[in-house]
Amino acid sequence: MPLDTSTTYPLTRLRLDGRRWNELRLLQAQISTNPASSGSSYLSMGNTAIMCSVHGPAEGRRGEASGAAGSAGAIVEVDVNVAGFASVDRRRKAGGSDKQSSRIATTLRAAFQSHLHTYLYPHSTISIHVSVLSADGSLLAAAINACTLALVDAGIPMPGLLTGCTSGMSGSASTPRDPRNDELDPLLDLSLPEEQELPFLTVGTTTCVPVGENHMDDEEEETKVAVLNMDSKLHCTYIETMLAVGMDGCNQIRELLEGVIKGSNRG
Amino acid sequence: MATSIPSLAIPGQRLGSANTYAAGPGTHVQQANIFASIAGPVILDPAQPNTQSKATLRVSRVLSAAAQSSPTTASAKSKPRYNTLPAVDSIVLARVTRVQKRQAAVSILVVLDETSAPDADLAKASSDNDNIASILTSAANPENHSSTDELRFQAIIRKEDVRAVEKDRVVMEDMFRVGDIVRGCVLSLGDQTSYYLTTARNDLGVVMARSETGNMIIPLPIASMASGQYALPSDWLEHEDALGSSELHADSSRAATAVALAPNILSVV
Amino acid sequence: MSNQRQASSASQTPHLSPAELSYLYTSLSLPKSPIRPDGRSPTQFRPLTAESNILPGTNGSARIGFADGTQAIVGVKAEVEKTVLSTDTLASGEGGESTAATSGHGSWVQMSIEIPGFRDDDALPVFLSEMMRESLVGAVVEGGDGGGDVMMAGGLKGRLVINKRWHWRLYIDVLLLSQPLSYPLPLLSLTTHLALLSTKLPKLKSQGEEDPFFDDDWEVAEYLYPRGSKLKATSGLASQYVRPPVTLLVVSVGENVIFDPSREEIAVADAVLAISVTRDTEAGNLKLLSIRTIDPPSRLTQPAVPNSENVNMLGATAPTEDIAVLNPATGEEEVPGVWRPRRGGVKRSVIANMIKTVLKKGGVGEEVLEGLEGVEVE
Repeated sequence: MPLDTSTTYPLTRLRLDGRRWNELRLLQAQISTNPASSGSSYLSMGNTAIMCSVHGPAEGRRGEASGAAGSAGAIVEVDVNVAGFASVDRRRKAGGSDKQSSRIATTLRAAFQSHLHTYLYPHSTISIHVSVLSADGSLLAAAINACTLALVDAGIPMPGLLTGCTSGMSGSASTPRDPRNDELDPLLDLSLPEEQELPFLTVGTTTCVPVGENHMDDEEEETKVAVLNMDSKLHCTYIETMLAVGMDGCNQIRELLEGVIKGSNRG
Repeated sequence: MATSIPSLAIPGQRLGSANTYAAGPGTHVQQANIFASIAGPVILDPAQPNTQSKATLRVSRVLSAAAQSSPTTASAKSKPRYNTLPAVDSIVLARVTRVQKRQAAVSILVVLDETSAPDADLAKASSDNDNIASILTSAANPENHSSTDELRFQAIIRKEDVRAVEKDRVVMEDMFRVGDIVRGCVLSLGDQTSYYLTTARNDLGVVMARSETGNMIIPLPIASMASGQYALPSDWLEHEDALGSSELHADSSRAATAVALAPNILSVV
Repeated sequence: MSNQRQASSASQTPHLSPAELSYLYTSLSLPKSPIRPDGRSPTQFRPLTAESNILPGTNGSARIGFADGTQAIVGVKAEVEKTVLSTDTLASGEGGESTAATSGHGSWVQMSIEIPGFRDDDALPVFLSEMMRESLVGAVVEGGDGGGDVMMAGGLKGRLVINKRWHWRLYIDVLLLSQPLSYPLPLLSLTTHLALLSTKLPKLKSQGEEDPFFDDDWEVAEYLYPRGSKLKATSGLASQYVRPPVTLLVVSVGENVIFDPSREEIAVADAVLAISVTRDTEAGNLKLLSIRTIDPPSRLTQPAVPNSENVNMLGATAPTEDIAVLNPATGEEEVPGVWRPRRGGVKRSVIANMIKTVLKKGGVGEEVLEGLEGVEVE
């Protein structure tokens, strides 16, 4: 039996790792893992494991971050490092960073620069260091979640938790969607083999809804998409489904992260 | 209090309506609601009874401290200090590091707590002045500072911010000398490198200095100005430890920025 | 540039005033019984947290967190590679080929260190990785006749040989999770040691000169560094196994030798040494692999001015005469209580004492190795 999702999924309705279409992988997280930083976190989604540490807000280095950008608020710096032992085969880097990690870094920087309340810290720098210890898909999404936890740990004000998740389709989805014969399912939280063969997108959302048991106005719910990233080809009729599934995944993850934050507060 | 306040907040969590409460540190207001910006226990500061203000909601940064089961009403006197960074309008003590034609560069030694009342401030200042010798040898002794100066916040006093009157007649060399301790007020956060300070107020200016021969000069109290020593605007004394005698400071115009401190300063000398 | 200079001269020096430096130095150099700022004994280490086998995707991994909050993660990956003989060994004929194939080659171990704020090709990471790789592949065991240690003949290099045509290539990736607060070498070395101890290679199923193939069962995989069975451990032979080297940071202040120095202690040290040791199979003793002196940061501090020379203090204090005395450790004249930057140079007896404290039976080196062994057992 060939081991790929697009052939086995229609038969079993189960994915390679035994999940159903709308199941997340096991998410485990910890905050305050590194006492040498302002805030830090460890987060694993399945076999993807990420450590993140935040330094700052601190005085920026002279010269850089100067001028108008500096005086308006803090500058967010993101540095992503995928460890050599993170993937199955040891990846050798040709001195410096590679394309994948610098792309993740750029996306994270853009997302958190606009998300955080940076105006409270003019002339300062918030530097985020992300280390990928083990890479098994959904890297960007896991990095967003890890950064959020570390920033909460560092006490940097933000309007809400920014969480990320991936979603994909269980087939190549290159033809328009046929409502009568719809055999493709959207998938939630893709692993590396799934990412490699299926179209997927990463979505990050934030929300200002009253959370937990303190609901005051349920209908006031307001989820905002802060990050949306897609590299694969797919017919546009599927986008909406994938986006909805991804945003649902973000909400699930947000609840998990809230549990992590509350748990470490009580402890 | 119509709705219950959560004991533990998470960023993005709604804490209450802006009509009922005022937003304190660690919160932000959006669409007339107060939301938490950081994670931590929620603290409700009761409104001052004599004013019309609302009770203030704030989120504390103390993460690991035992989160109380109900919103705590903390007394206002144990107000946590968020940082000691100079902000606009904070009063600072700074030491002059360089004097130029148009500006003087200083490095900020202390950011004074703005919450303390001005008279309490003065009392503290005078008690600190009790050991003038130790302050001068530690703070104003240039030899100690060559390595630590760059760690402090740098600030600039521009020529036009030195005093409120006769701004065009200011000669920086007569106002400040390297090593002087200046009490100033932060005008703005300035550029990337330095804050901007002003001394153009009656309670601001040089508070401690040395003469060219290395002796301490101290401002004379206002009382002594009134009693006929009006040869010099607000005078400085050069203090000779060995002789115990006082002589008037030579460059009197320096005193234009000087502050007459508490009268008990003479008793120390 | 300045960043690099700081890091190579052992760590961002804490900003201490000359008076503080002098106080630290005086209390640390008290004859026989130094008083350390945190109340430890001279050979006592700060508590550290360590765990191994944390990453399922690697052959071996470890994480160590030091008391000052710095953490390092090491992952070891092994790949099978075809042995390519260089032209000169080929030219030298059959004999040369066999030695190269059985004794292994130093380049089969690759090490890379990543430190936040440094590029991969910056001087510090390159220097550190080469220093650690050298002591790893250099630790060759002579003879290799010690019971179960046939596998370790030729040291780590020899262990990597599969057969004449194939060998393992070992990638050791070291990740420092935050900017180093003090000289990172001991942290990196201990973590690497722990990761190598936990490293397993799949069991070889093929024999002789066949193309290698391996047992799929990870349960039967063999440790890179063979471990003693329970039986042997009880009979006291466990110490006969070859272990990867560890590097310890030792400083001397006055005539005192101090282990696991904190940042403040390094700041006043007369000499800073990085001592690499490993376990010798023959007698179960420790073997000294290398000693490196590290530029002590106290050299760069500002000197203090004695009261007798301070213009500002003229007449302010009682006219006590400052008497310069000879520092027995450095042979320089100093006024007690007045800080003088260390100009380097310590007596030979002090260095000898440092090495002796590490190497002696029941000494600090053995204690550290045993402690690291204990991490794995749990």
